[in-house]
Amino acid sequence: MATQAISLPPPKDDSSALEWIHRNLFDGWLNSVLTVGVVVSLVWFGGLVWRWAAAAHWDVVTRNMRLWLVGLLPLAYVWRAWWAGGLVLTAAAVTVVGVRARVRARTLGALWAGIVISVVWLFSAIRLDQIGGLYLTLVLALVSISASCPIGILVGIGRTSRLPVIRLFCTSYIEGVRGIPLITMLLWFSIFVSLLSGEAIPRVMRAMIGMTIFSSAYVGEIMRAGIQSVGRGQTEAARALGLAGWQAMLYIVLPQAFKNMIPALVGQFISLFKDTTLTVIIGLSDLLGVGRALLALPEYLHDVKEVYVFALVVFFIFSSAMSYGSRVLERRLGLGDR
Amino acid sequence: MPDVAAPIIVLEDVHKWFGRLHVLKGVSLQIRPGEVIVVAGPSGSGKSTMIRCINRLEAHDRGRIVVDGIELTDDLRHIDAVRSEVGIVFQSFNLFPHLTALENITLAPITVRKWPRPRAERAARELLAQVGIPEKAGTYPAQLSGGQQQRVAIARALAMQPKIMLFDEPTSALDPEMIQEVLDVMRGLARDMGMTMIVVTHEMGFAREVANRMVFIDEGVIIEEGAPEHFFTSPKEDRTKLFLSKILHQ
Repeated sequence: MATQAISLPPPKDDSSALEWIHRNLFDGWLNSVLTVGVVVSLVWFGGLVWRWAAAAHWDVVTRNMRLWLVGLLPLAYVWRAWWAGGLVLTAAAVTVVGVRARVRARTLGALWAGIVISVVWLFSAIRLDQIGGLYLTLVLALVSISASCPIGILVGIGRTSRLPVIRLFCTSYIEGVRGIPLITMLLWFSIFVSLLSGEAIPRVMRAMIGMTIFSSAYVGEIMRAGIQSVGRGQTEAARALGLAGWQAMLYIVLPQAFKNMIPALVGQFISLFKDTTLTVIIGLSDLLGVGRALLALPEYLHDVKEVYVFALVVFFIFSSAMSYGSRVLERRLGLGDR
Repeated sequence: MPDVAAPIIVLEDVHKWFGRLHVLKGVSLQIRPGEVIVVAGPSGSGKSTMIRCINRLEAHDRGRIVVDGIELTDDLRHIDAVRSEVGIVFQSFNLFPHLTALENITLAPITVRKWPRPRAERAARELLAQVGIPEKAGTYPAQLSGGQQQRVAIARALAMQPKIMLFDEPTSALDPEMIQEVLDVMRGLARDMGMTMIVVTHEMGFAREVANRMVFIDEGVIIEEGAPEHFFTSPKEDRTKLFLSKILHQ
């Protein structure tokens, strides 16, 4: 008799929660000791933090919310900041929901274009140097991230160029900038601009330019690695079909490279976001700058812990939001690989 | 008969070096429209390099290559003109993994030929039907078998309506049971469409059946060429005999 091929369902895992705990947490004496040790220290540490947080003087945060958020922005302009922030937050929420619901990228792009135009209009009345606090942190990060992307792509492509002059220029730019700490770049650039043009360029603008120059080099290097991670056969196939070099780059290489680059790119952007605190050195008062200014007031002299814990939590929330976004993006773009 | 037609591909004393390595040592070959040429030879003999020179994925260093009246030089317009008339199928498929089968096929007609999307998609679906996988239009390459991927790659090359198709060991990366489905598509191209084809392959059964002419290359030189019936039964050169005895007695 011929044997018939029968597909069986996979064996079911019907172990109870207790069995799971036993298997994963108390599997032998070493694991049991580790489990108990970790739980005990977590509880002890959590209690410590909780007792401190309950007794801490949060006045420095709650009474000065406006300073933390927008710094010394004149009162007449504050509503513009609220509106801009509200619009961006709403758009971000809509995007997260929209991506889940697989809304077309074009629709979301149109939404963001509208938001960007409104935000630019809202900010058009405000002088850049009047911004401070979390707003300054976010504006610095957003502008330098968005500007370093296109520049980084150009530099990264230039570094793989066949033309020696372009390659040499891009390589020396990347290597030159990577050899300088960001804080040096900011100081040097600010002084350099002052010498040339006095106060013609606002300090916030100088910080943006300095951070963009700095970040573009790193983004360029990430781009180069991403571009080279796409096999030579891909370009060959595209060129053989008659696509021009730039078309092969745009339609074939970059989309695949971009997917490989997301983790490194987001890492770079998170670090750039946190590096905005270095602009204190050229006299800007970002989130951390506001904290330091508050600590100088007699009534808050002893609230050092509260100020820095609050700053830590804010930075942590924004950085983890970026990590989460990158994971979602990676999963979405992974479609072709499955 | 193709015999009277002027050659569509002319190679004259073509030389190619990779660094110090002399891979093509004066190759001359003429191919007439509608001819199917099968190129055989040991690995590293320069056969892939030769066909890659014909659409200038490699630039030859000496000699002349003329494709459909256009000489291949450093002039980019000539290269683009030739590339839009010559399709190539690679050993490793080289499908674009981030695009569906349909998008792989429509990309070049839309971006290079400026066809409107509906027209390109209609043509692409016809091509997918021609290579026998009309139901795979929305599938990504990673979800296709090797044989299906190679058939999409053939459809992708055909979408540009080339006069000449180059095949660079199209079945060497395939599992045995998938080789036939790809060879069947190639047979159809040769018989039903009268496509001019240069095929680098070790599939001697296919060669015997489809080729108008066999070309045997070793160490960068054409050792022997001729009709398959003579080539397989009474080869003139010793090196050809040695190669055939190795490859036919597997």
